[in-house]
Amino acid sequence: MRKILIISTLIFLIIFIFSFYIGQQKIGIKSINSFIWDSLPGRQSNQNEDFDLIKTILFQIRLPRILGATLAGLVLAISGAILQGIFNNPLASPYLLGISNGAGFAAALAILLDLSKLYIQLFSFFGGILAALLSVFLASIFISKEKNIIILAGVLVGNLFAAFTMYLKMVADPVSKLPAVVYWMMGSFANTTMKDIIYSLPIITVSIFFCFLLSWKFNILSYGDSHALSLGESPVLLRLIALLLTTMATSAVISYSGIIGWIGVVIPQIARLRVGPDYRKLLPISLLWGASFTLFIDDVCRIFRGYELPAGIASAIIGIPFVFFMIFKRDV
Amino acid sequence: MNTIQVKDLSFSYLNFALKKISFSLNKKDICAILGPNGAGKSTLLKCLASVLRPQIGSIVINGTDIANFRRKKYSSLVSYIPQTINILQPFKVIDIVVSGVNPQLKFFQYPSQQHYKKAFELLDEFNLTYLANRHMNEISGGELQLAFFLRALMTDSIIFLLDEPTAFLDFKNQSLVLSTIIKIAKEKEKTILVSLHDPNQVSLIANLVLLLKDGVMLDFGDSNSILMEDNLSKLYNMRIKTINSDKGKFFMHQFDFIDYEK
Repeated sequence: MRKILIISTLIFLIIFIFSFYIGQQKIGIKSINSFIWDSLPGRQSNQNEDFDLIKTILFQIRLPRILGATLAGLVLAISGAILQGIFNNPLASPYLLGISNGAGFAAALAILLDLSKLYIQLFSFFGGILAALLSVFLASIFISKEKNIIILAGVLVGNLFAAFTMYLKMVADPVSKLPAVVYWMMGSFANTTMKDIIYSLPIITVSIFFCFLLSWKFNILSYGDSHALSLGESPVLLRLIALLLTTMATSAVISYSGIIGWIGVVIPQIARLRVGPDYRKLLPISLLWGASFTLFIDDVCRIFRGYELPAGIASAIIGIPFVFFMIFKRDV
Repeated sequence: MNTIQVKDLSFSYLNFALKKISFSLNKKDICAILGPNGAGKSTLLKCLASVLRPQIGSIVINGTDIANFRRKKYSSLVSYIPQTINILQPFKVIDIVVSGVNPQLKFFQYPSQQHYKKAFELLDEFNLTYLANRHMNEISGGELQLAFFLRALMTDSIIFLLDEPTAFLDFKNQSLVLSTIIKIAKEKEKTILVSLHDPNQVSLIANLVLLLKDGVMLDFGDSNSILMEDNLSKLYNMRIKTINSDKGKFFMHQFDFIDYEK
């Protein structure tokens, strides 16, 4: 476990640093290297005009995007890992409660209403949470404590919001509004700013922090409801806490990135194949792999920027062969 | 003072009811619940495990009514092992055993090195050290049950509720599980309530028997006096033959399918 943790951390750091070297603005590797060298403390820097330009590109353009992809990847992977285990369902994703469709509808609504970017983000954040609340409320009407009812409720609510969104797309102005809506739905980090990161970071940090604190309880919940009860835990309460934490974090991510599908299903699956279902190992590995993979996807998007490739699409195109490889490699 | 005293316990689903179950057990007792499928054995165990809340009646443990316990406290006194073919996710056996300590942990607390040490000692005591790092999907059904027993021993609760621990097991694993149950009751001084399907297994391990049919307790008492041909025949609605030997009583099916009550 220690070995895989160290290797995964190294891989993440390499991808993280590598990500600063690519982008639309062609800056030579040498000039970035010398920029870093020059900004080391205690060095008499020979600041020229390039210095400020490179500084702006690295910190104002590339850094937010890199942080955005990192946060999105780790949040989606950790949320997916938790929900797949506690619902004993390999297809569970962070969007289990219809969050993505709720957020998508709210964002589309904000775009159609000509609201500013900040409001689009606020709308999508609360749209996701609203969908989650509605799902939990629907499930609680059927007093049944059967855990799969909540998955069913999530599917229903998700489809309801998807229908609303389709209506909005139909009435949206095809020239000025529709492309923005469609682009938002596909998910991208191209427009992520430092402000987005600063707004969503506290919610994400708190949620993920508590997810880690509760890893042991999530293990207990994975044994099944009657086992959890006999070990003194309330499965209903624990599930609600897990849903609350993952919903908050995921909605915070969706609010700036749009809907990046797929990472939250597959990365936790692969991590589970490698380190098993114990959350004390699964969560750190999912975090590192989710962040690394999403960063890598976004790097590819930036390299192919001319083709306007959104991260949501790239994650599927690159990810599916990647996953096949991982799964078959294990079987052989 | 009895370890557990159950009085007039009743519980009803839509189309099934447990009616007025009363009995009491002491330290080192092994009480078997015997009854046909659908008699309410699992429901009774779930009520005692506080997985289901009985609508009427009282359960008193060591002199305290369980209504006064919080779930955590209760689960540190009573360990319930539900009917389990397997846990769906491949956790390690040692982690399952260690999780018995959960009722003593605070909400954000993980099991410590000491807890793991204690779990390894338990495995060692039952000669199961070889299981420690195996995964739950790689072990036999008998070993699975033993892992759950050790989890309950890790909790150090006083009452063990076992729901059909010998179901789906081959002959050897049945004997492994049954002998471990005896060992736990006698050496660890636990009170054990276990539902079983085979009267022979009951006569092998239990000193008390509770006969349950259609949610009604037909009889409760000393196993030697209750495990009689006529009692069992009435319970299962079939003819049963008793074979007495110097090793004890054995029961056999008689395959003529004549409805006994007619």
